[in-house]
Amino acid sequence: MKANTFFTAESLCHTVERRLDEWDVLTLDVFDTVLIRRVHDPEVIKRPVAAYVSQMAAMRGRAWPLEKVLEFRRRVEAVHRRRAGRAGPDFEARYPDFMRDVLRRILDQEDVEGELRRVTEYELELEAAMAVPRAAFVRLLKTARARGKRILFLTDIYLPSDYVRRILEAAGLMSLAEAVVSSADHLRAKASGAMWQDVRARFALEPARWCHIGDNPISDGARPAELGITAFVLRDGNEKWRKALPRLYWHISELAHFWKGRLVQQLMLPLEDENVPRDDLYRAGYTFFGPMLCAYVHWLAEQVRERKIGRVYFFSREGLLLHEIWKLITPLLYPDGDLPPAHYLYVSRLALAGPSCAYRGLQEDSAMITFLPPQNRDFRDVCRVFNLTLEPLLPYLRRYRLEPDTPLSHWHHARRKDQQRFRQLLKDVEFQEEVKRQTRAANEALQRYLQSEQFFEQEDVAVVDIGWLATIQRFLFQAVDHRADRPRFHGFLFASAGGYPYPFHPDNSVQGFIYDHQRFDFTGSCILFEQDVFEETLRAPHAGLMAYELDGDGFRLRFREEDEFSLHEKRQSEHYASLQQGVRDAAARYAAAAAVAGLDLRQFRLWTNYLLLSRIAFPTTREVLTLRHIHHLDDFSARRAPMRKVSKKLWQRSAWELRFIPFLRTFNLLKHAIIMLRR
Amino acid sequence: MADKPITNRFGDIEGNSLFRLFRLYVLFKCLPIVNIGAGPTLLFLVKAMVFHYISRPVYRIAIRFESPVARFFEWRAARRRTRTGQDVS
Repeated sequence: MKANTFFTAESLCHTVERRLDEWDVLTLDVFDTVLIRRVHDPEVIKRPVAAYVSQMAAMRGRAWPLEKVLEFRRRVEAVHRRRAGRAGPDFEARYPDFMRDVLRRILDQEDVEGELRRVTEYELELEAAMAVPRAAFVRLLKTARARGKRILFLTDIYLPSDYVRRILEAAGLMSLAEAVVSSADHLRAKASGAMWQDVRARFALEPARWCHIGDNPISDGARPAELGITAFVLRDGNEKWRKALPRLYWHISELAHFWKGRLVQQLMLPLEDENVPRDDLYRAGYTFFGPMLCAYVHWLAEQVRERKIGRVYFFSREGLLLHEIWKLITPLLYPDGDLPPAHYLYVSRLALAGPSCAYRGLQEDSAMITFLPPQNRDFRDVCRVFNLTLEPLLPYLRRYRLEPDTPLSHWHHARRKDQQRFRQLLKDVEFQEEVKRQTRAANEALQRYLQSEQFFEQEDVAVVDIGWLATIQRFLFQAVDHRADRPRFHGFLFASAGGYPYPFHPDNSVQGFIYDHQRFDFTGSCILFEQDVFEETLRAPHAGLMAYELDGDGFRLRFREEDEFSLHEKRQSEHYASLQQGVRDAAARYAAAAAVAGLDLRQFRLWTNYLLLSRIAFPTTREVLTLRHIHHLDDFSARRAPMRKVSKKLWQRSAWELRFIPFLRTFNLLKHAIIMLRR
Repeated sequence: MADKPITNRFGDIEGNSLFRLFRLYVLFKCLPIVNIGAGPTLLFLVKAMVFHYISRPVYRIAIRFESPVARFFEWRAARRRTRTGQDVS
């Protein structure tokens, strides 16, 4: 009997399905048949595992670079294969056996069972993350199962069947099959024909009623056909082409680092049934925001490890999605688990502004933050932002000939004299005492909340926020600065925009990822074209925090009550839900792709810069219209129009302007370059 | 607006295709104020575009002749080895 060869999975599955009644049992090869890998070569999955082993060795003071580990693994595996070839029909090897030998030699210890378990777990997790079930085969298996056929998976691989079962379970295929047989179980493979005899005897199969599908013309074609089994061989040109793409990116990224990012994105792409039609927002989340934010969290994890920080706090509300990304990507990026615990901290500028004045009063640098948004105008806005009651402060205000409605912001043509009087007011000791009195309770409630989050138990904490001026970090540090046990703050922002002086202190540092105003980075600064879209992308779908309040011996977090604006915010969250899902799905695939590609974030930076330029500086009109938020609630700003004209940003332009004004984006970029050079 | 898969039928990223990269590459060549390192380089960019947009039918046809082609390359390699051996001797 001769094997039947097909050149597409669909035509093969269609033929088998049509002839299904001819057989009682269906056996299928696993890799490159039922499962395909996102990578072009299974060997590349061994690289991050080798890196993990190399790290284990380094911790024991043994120098085993990645390449040396890989080479040693190859040699040990070859020795095991030769040994098996002398004793039996096949040159097979078993992963636990040769890996144990590898670890014993590299780690120089006899008992390596714990290490072997961890390394195996990691390799299987990577294999599972890289494996995708082929849509045509899933449909065929479901039909065969529904028609009462027995289904077995047969594979020639060094992983024992228990391990292969786990990969198939992760792909959702084990519920359709009866068993998995691997050549590593008894060192008898399909290639020599030994496995066919074993399977026939073990499962009492009749060759005439048996159909096998695989991709190897010998192991899956000639050998079963010799036994009288109906064999189908898949030689898929489309799949060869699909694998040629990551292979190409792999090679060119070695020569031009710019392509490293594209390689990671290529390895992240959904395949087969994962690649279903999605809306524009989901696609933007998956292909743009996802890689950018994952790279940010990846950088954060590297910084935290390097600085040996005890705990990571993700600031609400943007931190919720970042925290999710952290949980999704760190296990595969750092298999040694050497990362501090991460928490989500309920904070906001409004809730922290008041407590920041409880011990140091209302300082000028903090008070003037109120007037950064063009909508804020007078002392009433200062009271709203710092949660102060106006009436007890009126006598002090009038002492300096100021009224609550006197314009103090340059956006509202404030008189210089009034601004000077306001500064004098801030130096008034009695005024400051009243401010401290009013804000002390909120500060106490904040401290109780932070204690419940073990904030004061660490020497160093990482505080994570999207950006832009690190106002939350500034207020939080000022609120707890009086305590002897307050930790050192390491601020990690997605972008540090600058534009307002930050009170840097050895115990209170801030660093930006995509853009840091402390170093000149013109490309990164393009994020300033549109910051709101990033804020809205990350914003958690819960109400904003308004204040910390005392509640008996404890504390209470007061969130924004439902009103017209919170309903708008809810609508915006619903609008961006699809985009956020895209980010989550991208994060689930980023870690494995980055680990396999051996991603260096300095190389990836070139790709994120390109993404930023293409999507933010040179967006298509459709992208602007789709991504532009419907509502953007900023509790910090009042709802009044500034008297001075605020220049229109690129992303605020109308569809007509975006479509028809020639060179609008290029002109905008050049204008931005001039502004940056003037700074 | 119609929903689309993340990758188009050429295996390229929908909305962030190599053509978009090509356009920006040309622009940044004229306007060298951005930091994307050495960039994609024209050769690799063209190579990637060829692989994505042209090579698929070639693979579909070539797979049918994979065995004879592989045998030819094996034969050629063996012949080269023999010749090199003859030259050395």
